[in-house]
Amino acid sequence: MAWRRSAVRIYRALLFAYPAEFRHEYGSEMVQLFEDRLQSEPALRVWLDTLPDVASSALKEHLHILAAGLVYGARMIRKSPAFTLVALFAMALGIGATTAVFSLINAVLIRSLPYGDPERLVYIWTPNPRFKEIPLEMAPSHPDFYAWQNNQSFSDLTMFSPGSFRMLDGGQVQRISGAEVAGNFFSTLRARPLLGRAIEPEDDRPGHQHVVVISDVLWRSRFSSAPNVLGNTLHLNREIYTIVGVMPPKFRYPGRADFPDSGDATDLWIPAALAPVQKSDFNAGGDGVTIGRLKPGVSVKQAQAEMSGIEARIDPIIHPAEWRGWVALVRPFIDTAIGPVRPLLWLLMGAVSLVLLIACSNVANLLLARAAGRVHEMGVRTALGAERVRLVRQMLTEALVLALGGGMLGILIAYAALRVVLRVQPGNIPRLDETSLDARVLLFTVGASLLTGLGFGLLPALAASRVNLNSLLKQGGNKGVAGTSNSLRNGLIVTQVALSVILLAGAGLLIRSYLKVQSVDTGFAPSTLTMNLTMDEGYETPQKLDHYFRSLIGQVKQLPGVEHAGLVSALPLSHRESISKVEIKGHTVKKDQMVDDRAATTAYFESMGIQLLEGRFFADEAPHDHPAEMMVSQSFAKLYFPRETVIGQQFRSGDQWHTIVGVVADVRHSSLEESPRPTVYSPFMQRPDNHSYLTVRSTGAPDQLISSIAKIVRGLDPTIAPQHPGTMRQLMSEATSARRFQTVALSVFAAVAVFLALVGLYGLMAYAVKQRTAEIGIRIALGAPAARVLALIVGKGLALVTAGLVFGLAGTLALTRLGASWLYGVSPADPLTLIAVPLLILTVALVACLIPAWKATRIDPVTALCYD
Amino acid sequence: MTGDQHPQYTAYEKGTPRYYIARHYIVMRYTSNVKHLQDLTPSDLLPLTPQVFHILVALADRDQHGYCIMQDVAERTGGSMRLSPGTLYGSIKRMLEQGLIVELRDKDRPDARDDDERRRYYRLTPFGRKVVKAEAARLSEMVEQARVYGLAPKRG
Repeated sequence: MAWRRSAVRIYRALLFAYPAEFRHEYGSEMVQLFEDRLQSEPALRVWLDTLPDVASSALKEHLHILAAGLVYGARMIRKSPAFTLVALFAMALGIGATTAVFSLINAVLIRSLPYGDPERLVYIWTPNPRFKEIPLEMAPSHPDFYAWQNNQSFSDLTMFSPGSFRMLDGGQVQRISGAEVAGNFFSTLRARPLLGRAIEPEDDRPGHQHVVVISDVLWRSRFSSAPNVLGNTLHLNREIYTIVGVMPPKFRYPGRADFPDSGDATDLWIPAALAPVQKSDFNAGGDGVTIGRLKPGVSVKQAQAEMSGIEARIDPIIHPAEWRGWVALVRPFIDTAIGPVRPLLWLLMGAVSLVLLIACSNVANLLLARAAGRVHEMGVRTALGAERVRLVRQMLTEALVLALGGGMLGILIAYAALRVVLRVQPGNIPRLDETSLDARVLLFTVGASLLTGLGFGLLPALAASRVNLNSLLKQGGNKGVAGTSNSLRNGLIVTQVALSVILLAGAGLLIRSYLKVQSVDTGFAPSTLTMNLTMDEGYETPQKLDHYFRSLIGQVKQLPGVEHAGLVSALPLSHRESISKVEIKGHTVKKDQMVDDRAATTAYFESMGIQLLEGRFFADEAPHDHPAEMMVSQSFAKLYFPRETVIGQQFRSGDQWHTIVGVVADVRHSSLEESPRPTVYSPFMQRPDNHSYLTVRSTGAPDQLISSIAKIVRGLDPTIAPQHPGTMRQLMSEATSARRFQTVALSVFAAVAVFLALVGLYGLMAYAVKQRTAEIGIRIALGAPAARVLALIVGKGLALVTAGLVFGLAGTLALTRLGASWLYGVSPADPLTLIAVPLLILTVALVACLIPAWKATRIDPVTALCYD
Repeated sequence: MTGDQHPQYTAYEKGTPRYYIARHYIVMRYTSNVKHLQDLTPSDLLPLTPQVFHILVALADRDQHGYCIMQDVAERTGGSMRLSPGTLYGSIKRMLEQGLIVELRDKDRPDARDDDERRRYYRLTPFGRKVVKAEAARLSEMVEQARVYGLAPKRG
């Protein structure tokens, strides 16, 4: 009957769920049985019995094969411990490195932020294209922010001003990172407190603002996690705030690297409670980082279009004429935090993929070599009726056992590597300290292990199972599969060498760049001791600041060993910037020319070792009505007075004319890699700054000096705490930490890659010697000198390496061009690197080839001829 | 035979030299691997799954093919155990590997009258008989213990 025939056809199709071997053995019987039952029983009942049976018994058969394979595989692995160790080691290195990089990516890119729907959050910045010194990520002024309130794009619009607060804690003064936030700050981020409540719109009014929400860290350190912390008070900047809430541990926003130049992770939030004049008057000063939450269905592009329109309309209304030209820039929240590190993560992922590829091809090569030794076994199993599928499956199972074992060791390696990374502190990676081996990372590792197991197992498995039984039995020797897989093995070695060349050349270029950055002329002495001093209330007048600084410098200079003690408004590499417009007498004003401006004492230049190139230092004590003297940097002189004498020239900054009395050497300010910008210096004591840096040059030990100076600072005013004490060398180290990290990471990957490639090369050469024992024996018996035998083996190895070098160099030239932005002061086709890398690889490859070759010369012809 | 063809089905026809070569390899290389099967004692395999037990019982008095085994088991259990093809042949495969049953060669097949050429017949081995006996003894021992506490019907 037709329905019965189609039922049988369906059942036949279902049989494909079983392993092929089982299906071939029992398939027809099973179909027969199924047909028999159909004839004697109702069809529905047969199907109800059969379907679950197919599912469970097919799975069972697969598991049986897997179990048998595992047992068999474990036995094979036990029988060749050297092979297993090398393979496990290669896999562990490859997968360990990949896991470590993935856990970084997981922490930075994948793991969700502690805010609701962060992908709908955007920053709105206000750059000003008229002034190229103004950064893109310029926080909007308060009047801009309040003029934006009528818009169609955002469901919420909030702002905050990060800052540091002086906290009085049992007589001790501590500086704490905090933020003054608008009333809807927490509701816009959709961040909920752990205890109590967040800051709410009612708090954001003058007179109601004395409430504070603290971080989990502050709660733990200051209140030992006391549950009754709510209602306690904090003394911040001489005012008293009541604690109304505690945030969960993950919420420290804004934290390091959340946006360019954001400070340390935040520990407390208080209401901004702006006065009406601050909200409306641009000249009243004040700005806040602005965050918008996009309405559902509104894209970043649409929001950008609307905000551009609004800003163009309000620009002439709220901004004074000389400052007009501000535009609104809408940037996704996540991109802003991750944008700067994304290339680094790409670099790491790319490098680690190459390492994994090398590790895979290495293990594939080992498996191929072993497969050649297992021709007998495969032949016999084929002769006994084992199907090719089953042999492939067996080999794959062994490969997977190796890969999973390697993966487990890899997790240990990744764990160790992450500890090192956290100690190195790679600079600007946001949320790095949250990096851990969580469930997602472990799942990734298992997945990567299985995938690589398949990757390196499939090729050898297919090659090994292609047994020509006839020739095997005829020859009874090892030659059954040698021919086909040799070219495969050679190809794998060439690939490994080529990939190693790319990694090594990349590492070489980065190392050269790092050394260039290290040896850059910073313009200052690295041994100078510096610290930051911030004054708040009580220092509103220049007279008070003047008095304070005079007594401070006077006392510091009395300390033993101190040679110079200076003051400056913005220290190099401190991330503090200050710029102003200038107009030069007798020169037409170029469009919006701006320079860096600093206030400094003459002792600042002496303590920092900044050289005076022309003229003289200005007088620190110049009377206020004296025509102001100023100094300029060398690049200022070169830019504005290329052919004239600089000394005696006059320029205007603000409404006062100044005379240039001296030229000092350039200083790298924002970063070590950026070339110095034109800078002007005015006498510090004429306009003391309440955020200043003390710079001290001494012959004493820095640690002791820091505590002596701290004692003086406390003695002068116990409410002022020195911040970030340390030498300029420490600031330089911080400034190069990102580059150091990427250089070290790539160098480690390159070293692993080269090592793996050499192990692979050594293995191949040793195997080749073993395979050609008889031939070499005959050559020696016929009188071939040792040198000839040596050349025979080494020549073959070096031919492979040379092929790898050629491909590798071609790949390097193609890839490094893409990565030119990583380099500093080095061309992507840097001849030194491109010559040194092949030489290095050739040298170590020679060693890897020489050992097997030397063994070949020691072959005893008599034993060799009996060998096969 | 040409060298290009895959030789696995013709290479070891009995009586040809290759058959003996292959056997030589088997003896040389695989005796160590199969040795543990010879060392198996019946108690190593206990307890049996109900399916295996019933299949062994079905083969106790005569050699049968798959469908007969299935019918036999269904009859004896009053229809409560119906062996589906996958379970049946999965069990048979394992029982062959453990040496509990053997597949009959052509000359040993039952009379041509009820023989069905397409079907494979299975026979209980002496070892299989020992195993099923041991299992039956184990089961009745368990029933006996239950009976002491009135948990099983009295021996009629």
